Amino acid sequence: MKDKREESAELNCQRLGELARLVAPADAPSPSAGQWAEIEHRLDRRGPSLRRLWPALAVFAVSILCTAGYLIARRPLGYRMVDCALAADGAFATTAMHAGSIAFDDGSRMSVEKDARFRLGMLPFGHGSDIRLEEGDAHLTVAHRPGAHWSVQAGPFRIDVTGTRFGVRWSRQLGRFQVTMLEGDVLVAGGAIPPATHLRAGQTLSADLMASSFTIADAQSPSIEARPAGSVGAAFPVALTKQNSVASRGPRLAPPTTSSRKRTDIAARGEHPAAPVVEPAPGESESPRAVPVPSRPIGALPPAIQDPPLLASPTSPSPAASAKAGSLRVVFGEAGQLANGFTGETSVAGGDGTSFSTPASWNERAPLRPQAGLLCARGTVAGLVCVNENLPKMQCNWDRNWGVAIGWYARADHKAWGDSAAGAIAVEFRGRSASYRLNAHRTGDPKEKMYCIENYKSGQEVRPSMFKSECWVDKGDTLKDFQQVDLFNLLFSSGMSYVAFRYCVSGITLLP
Amino acid sequence: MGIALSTMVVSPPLPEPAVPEFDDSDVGLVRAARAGDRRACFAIWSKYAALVRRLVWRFFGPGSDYADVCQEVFLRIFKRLDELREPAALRGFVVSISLGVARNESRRRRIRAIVGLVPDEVLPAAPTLPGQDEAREAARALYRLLGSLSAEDRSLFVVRFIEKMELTEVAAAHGMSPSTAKRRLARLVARVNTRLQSNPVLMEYVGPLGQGRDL
Repeated sequence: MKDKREESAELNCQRLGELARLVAPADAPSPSAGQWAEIEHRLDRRGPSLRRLWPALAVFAVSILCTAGYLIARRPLGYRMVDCALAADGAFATTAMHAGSIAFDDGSRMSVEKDARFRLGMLPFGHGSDIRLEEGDAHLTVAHRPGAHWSVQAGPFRIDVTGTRFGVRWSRQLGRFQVTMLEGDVLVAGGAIPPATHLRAGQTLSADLMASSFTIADAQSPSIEARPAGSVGAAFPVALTKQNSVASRGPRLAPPTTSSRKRTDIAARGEHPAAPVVEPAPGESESPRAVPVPSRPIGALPPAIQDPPLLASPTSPSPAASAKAGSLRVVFGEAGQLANGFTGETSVAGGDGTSFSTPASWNERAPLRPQAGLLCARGTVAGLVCVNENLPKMQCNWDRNWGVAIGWYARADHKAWGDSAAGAIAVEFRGRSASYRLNAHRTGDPKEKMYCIENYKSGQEVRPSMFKSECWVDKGDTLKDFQQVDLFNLLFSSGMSYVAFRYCVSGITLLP
Repeated sequence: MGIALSTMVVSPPLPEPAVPEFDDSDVGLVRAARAGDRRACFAIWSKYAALVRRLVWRFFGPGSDYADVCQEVFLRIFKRLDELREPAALRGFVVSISLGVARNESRRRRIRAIVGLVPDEVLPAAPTLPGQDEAREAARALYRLLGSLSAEDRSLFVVRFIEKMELTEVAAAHGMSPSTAKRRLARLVARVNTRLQSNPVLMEYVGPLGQGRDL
């Protein structure tokens, strides 16, 4: 029964097919030549097939993928912001009621105090951020990552960070800028601050844009704390927050007695000596003292340093020396000959960029005659000429324009100090606030090789082990003793800009 | 003799007879067309244009505008000629592409009818059967019924019941196995008969046929 129904259905379809053949017979009208012409025309017009286009399509697809990958990789670092409102001008701001915070995807954090304004310029490839602090206080904890670059711009000041923790404050109205280092180190520049000024943990830099000055304060001085008990540290008690004033001149990038090759290495490593810090002389205020940037024609000294108070008495023992039994006070003879511990003579020397007004007739080989018991030098030092400034490969003409040095030979024959050498030495001096360096030359060493103490402070008692061959980076060999030393000098080194100098060595004390 | 020779030398060469660089077999045509010989394409068109036209005509019914469809079929054939593994199977290739293009066109027409761009599929004009009003009306009903089928069912009906192709040819033309084609055809027959039951015009026309009456 079922088969019959299927057969009937099949038969019905066949009948319908026959009906269709009747209305659409096999002898359909033949195609005309015009139809072929149309086909040929369309064949000619038809573009290349996908098969022929696949190499170009593949290149296109790969380029699209690469572009997409690049765009994805180029994405800046993400961040989450709390209690920071977006102002109409695109800056972020905190209110007078709430402080804000930003958590970056790499673990870096930024907290912003109340009433602060800032902008975030996120760098591509998640490399970090250029933060522009327009007003207020911010504290940053930057996660250290290879290739990361973080910077904070506050007015004309700029902080470059690699991985550290610090606070920054900027008042646009007052023109005051402050960086407080908690961990790590940063490079600061802008305003009166020389380029690439190095700030370490524990230091606080305060700058006044109006006064074109800045100061760097150490929360705690490790070098002073490291002194042995009973040394000059006791005679010069240092407060926990010890303020050091910094001249707003160029940085002391390297000792003039160091070879240019070493300096190049330093620059190539991106290391720079610490910002110049000098201890106010005894009798002067220990409060921070901002020194204005010289803005005068070359050769004219600023009134403030025309006649600095030089009150030292060469015959009166220093506080440090007087406190130590067995100390010797070196005597300056009228012709520059030394006595009472040293037998050599005094000298003064300058680099190519140094011009002296005191001594009036300068001869490097002639002894420096004391004036009123003081060994004084006065004049100007031209600014350094540098290439690749603010870059790791920065190089300057340190070897020629190194500054000025007041020195003295240990012995009259210019040989090593020998068995009569003291165990420690303290040099007292007066002068404008700047970074001074105490150098010691070991007999037999090349002339340019010196052991030094960076940021030497007047009256500071120093022992041989404190002298280092690369003191500006607190590295290198140390002196074993003074017996092999034939020459000392106190150096005022050149900076990035022209500067006037006047400083006097007022006394030398030798300690056992 | 010398004159004759000189005459032969100075006389212009006779034009060579236009001998095609391919033979007329499907294999020769396909190879030449693949090599880009436009004359071979023309030869293929000349050979199969009637077949294509008939298939398309029977697919859509008489009265429909199928010139563009036929053009598209040949453009598709020449474009996909490289896909033909066996040049000797050119005829089946042509049938397959013709049905494929027709199915696509059928689907397009249906979509355009749905969105209202064009009226529903154009019904065939009256068959040229003088004096047979019954057959004319039945043909209209048949293509109305085919229009209600899916494009594939319509294609199967055309090749199986109008073109009277064998099962293997039907399968090859639709790119399916013979067993699949057989199942599809069985379903198609059932579907057509179901719709036939509700179509009095066709029932009246087919019924007597089903009872053994000749047309």
